Amino acid sequence: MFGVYFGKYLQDIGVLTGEQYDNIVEESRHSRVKMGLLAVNEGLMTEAQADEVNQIQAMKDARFGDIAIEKGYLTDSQVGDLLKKQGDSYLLFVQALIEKDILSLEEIQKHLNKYKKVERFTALDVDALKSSDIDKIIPIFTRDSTVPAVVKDYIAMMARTIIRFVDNKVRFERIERLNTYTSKYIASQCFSGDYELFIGICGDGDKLIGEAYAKEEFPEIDEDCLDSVCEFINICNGLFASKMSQEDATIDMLPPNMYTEITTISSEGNMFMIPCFIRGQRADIIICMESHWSIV
Amino acid sequence: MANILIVDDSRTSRKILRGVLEDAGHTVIDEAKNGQEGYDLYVQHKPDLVTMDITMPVMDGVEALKKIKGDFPDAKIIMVTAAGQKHNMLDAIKSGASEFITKPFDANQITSMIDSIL
Repeated sequence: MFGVYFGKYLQDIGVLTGEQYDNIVEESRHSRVKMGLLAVNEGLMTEAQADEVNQIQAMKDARFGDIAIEKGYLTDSQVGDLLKKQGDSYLLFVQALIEKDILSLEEIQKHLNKYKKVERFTALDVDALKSSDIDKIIPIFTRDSTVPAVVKDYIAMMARTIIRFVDNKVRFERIERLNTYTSKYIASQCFSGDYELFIGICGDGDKLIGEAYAKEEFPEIDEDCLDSVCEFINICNGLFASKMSQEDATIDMLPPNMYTEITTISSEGNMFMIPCFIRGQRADIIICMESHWSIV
Repeated sequence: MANILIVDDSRTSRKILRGVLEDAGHTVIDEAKNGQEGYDLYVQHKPDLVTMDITMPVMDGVEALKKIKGDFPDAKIIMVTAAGQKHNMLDAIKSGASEFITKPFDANQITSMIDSIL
């Protein structure tokens, strides 16, 4: 995960070519083993137990390790050991830069220091990025006291779901508050009840999300592709509603909507956008609150 | 093996469900895009089983369930929903739903559920 962020910076300042960046990210995709497979291979869980945890994970916004601990299949320390074995993304990235003779360790450290300054990252932020833990990474990009907690919670949940269903090398940028947002491609779903929210995923990145969820290639972003993105949003909203119901909040999901013409979403200051990049394609997550939005 | 009617407004969900059902040896007799269409196709085909999405335009799944069960009390209907829709599920149970499938779909769960219902 760290390589996706730091690598993009190195590409932006001309240290890495686009091709080198893509290659390193692609290679790192194969360096992380699925937790269930790892646990079974290590003889810590049976295949049936791993399947059971995967099924629970499909209905609950929780990590594999947390569910396995809850079920009594793994201990805290076993999960810790397995996480380490999954692969240290920072070291893998550094190793790739050195092995390809792109940078020395000293040069990497020099660029890393500059990167921290440019992005206004603290040492803790960099540690979070190095950890590959999405629960630690997302707060870096939603750190704005004016953003409501429900929006931050929703984005964290959607980020976890993108990693689970779409791509574990997704890169996020900082959240923005907007009054209007225009896109040719919008997949969306609203909910009513104790929380009234508009959730949209917009832009060219819809193609990759639609393809990943439907497990089908789409020649272009058409209604079938956006239907798949709508279903992906539906899954996210279901997980969110499930979490909210534990706090006694009731959420009703409305039928999804899609837009394939240039469309503008307007809001009275209650619209938030967080850009996410999947294999170089940008998809903007849009959240509008409290019914103060319109779509033309 | 059963003749099954899929009622879901999402083409993606219909496609995934069709794949799971056909892989298990069942026949998808038809597909409907909303509750009203689902009711009409139920009357036409009298399938062994219906998978019924809850959140749909025109007529939602709970309403369609009530309409079908009102006219055909022996109809077997599995409701399909995203997680976190407990109140809709309770309403559907009261109205005679046979079972629930939660999205995202789990092929093993769906096939064993259908086997136990039929």
